Amino acid sequence: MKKIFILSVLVIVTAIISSCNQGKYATTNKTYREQVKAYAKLLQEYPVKDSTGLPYAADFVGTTNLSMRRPNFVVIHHTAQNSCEQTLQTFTLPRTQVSAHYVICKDGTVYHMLNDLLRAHHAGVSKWGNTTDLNSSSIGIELDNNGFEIFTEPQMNSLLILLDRLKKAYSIPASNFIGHGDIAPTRKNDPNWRFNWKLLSEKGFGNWFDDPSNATLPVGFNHLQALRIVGFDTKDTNAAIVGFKRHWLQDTTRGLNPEQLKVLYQLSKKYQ
Amino acid sequence: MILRATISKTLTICSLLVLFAAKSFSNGLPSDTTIKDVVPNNLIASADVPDPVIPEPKPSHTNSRFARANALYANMIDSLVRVIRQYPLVDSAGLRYASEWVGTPNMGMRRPNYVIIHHTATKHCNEALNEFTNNGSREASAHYVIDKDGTVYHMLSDLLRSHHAGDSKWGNTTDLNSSSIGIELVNNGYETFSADQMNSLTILLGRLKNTYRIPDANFIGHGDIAPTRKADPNHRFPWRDLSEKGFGLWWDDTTNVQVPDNFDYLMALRIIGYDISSPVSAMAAFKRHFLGDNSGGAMNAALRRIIYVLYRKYQ
Repeated sequence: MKKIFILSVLVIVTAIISSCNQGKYATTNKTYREQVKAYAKLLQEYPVKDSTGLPYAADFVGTTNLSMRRPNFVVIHHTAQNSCEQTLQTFTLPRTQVSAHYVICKDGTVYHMLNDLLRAHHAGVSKWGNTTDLNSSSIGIELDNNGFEIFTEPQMNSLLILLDRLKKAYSIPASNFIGHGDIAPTRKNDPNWRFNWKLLSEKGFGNWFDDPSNATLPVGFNHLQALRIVGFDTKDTNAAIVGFKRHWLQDTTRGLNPEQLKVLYQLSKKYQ
Repeated sequence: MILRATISKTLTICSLLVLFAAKSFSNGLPSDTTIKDVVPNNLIASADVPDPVIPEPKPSHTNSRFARANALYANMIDSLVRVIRQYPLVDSAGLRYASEWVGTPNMGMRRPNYVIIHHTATKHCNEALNEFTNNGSREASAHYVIDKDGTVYHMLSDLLRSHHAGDSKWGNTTDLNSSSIGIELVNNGYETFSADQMNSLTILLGRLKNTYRIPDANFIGHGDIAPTRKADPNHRFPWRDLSEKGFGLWWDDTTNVQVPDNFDYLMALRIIGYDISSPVSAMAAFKRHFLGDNSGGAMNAALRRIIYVLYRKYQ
């Protein structure tokens, strides 16, 4: 009898404890805080002496002119999943090792899953210009989308508000709002070709080309050079071309015809 | 009796936790608060929570010339730590945030992807140390300063952003401070770099490359990323030796190289990374780095070949 009484007390106690830490994601949120705390501890370590064999000065001299590393790019993704809930679950499982700073659901609801100043794992193996660690220099935004459908208006509205804050907060240049498919053209095709990059560029997020109809292609125009100047990794030529066409021509086919070459020429001028 | 005691204890823990959360995440903390102030020890002990983040004892270099600067350094780190520990995150006005906050455990610290080499343009190391510990003037700094005798000052955690690049551009990257490590070599701006200094630099670059997987191509100079403003490290810097050790790219023999007629060398400089908005400055920077030549931006046929060979390594 006494045992049952104690047991029921324990149950009530557990209920009370969990009631002050409600929510489906309470456990993973706790992990979040522990992780951040561990990084905080790392930053607070000093003196900093980490290369063996180096003749360090006897006195530690810390500089007083410092700040947090900031994002310089914004990389837009689609989740290729069936619901926002599914994505939240994926991003809260440590074994997946994938994440994004933001997830935007179809109804426009925003989940801010990681401090902008920390590094999310969204880019994977990728390259843009000479930058090979895009995770370290970007903000990752995932749009709930199965990979084929159009992006909803509430979703685009939330995205635009968010991009505006990011651009101002971190002085991100207009050119540096790009897609996952741009930085990993052999592996990725998101956001899908229906994504309205033109609308974004009109608001100052991403570059667009001037009217190509009156442009004359220079003799010997080197389209690979132009793609590389825009930022594409041109090791796989076809993949880079497909990446370019998805983003700037809403086209998922291969190859470049004379009209498309002109578009590329016009676009590359924006990156010089 | 046991029941009442347990419930009251639990309620205490609950309220302490709430108090703890409210205290840690409120924004109105005075700027000189330390983590110790935010997370009182007695609170932690009674709530039976694992050890709090309490900074290692502050460097007790009370007789050091830099004691004041070091104390300020520690305070600044503490305030950055408070920024990254903010929770939950709701920072865009007008955005429709979800009612429940969901954090991801899949994260890291932003890391450097470039190494930028500078010369201090000072006669002595002290001048650089003084400047980098003076936060009223130019607000300049570097992660490392290497003295002429090879002594290394590591002034800032690699994971934080130092202010060494200034207004600069490399490829599409416009915030080099955020994506690089800055290394200052003590040098008056004209002299050669001593063997001791280069030895220390090589050891350091080896560790940085391994730790942060920095590609060979991304070891560059301040003059490369800010060609209109900067000329460091000076033209005597041994970039070629460094490239042979895997730090920075180099061009090979160009004797049998046929450059295509339509080769556009400015586009090639842009692909290497140079900002070509001032072609002469970009050219001059290229010559300083890849030819040890400080004669300015004039162009010739041999140079065209070298640019051609080098640019093909950047694809």
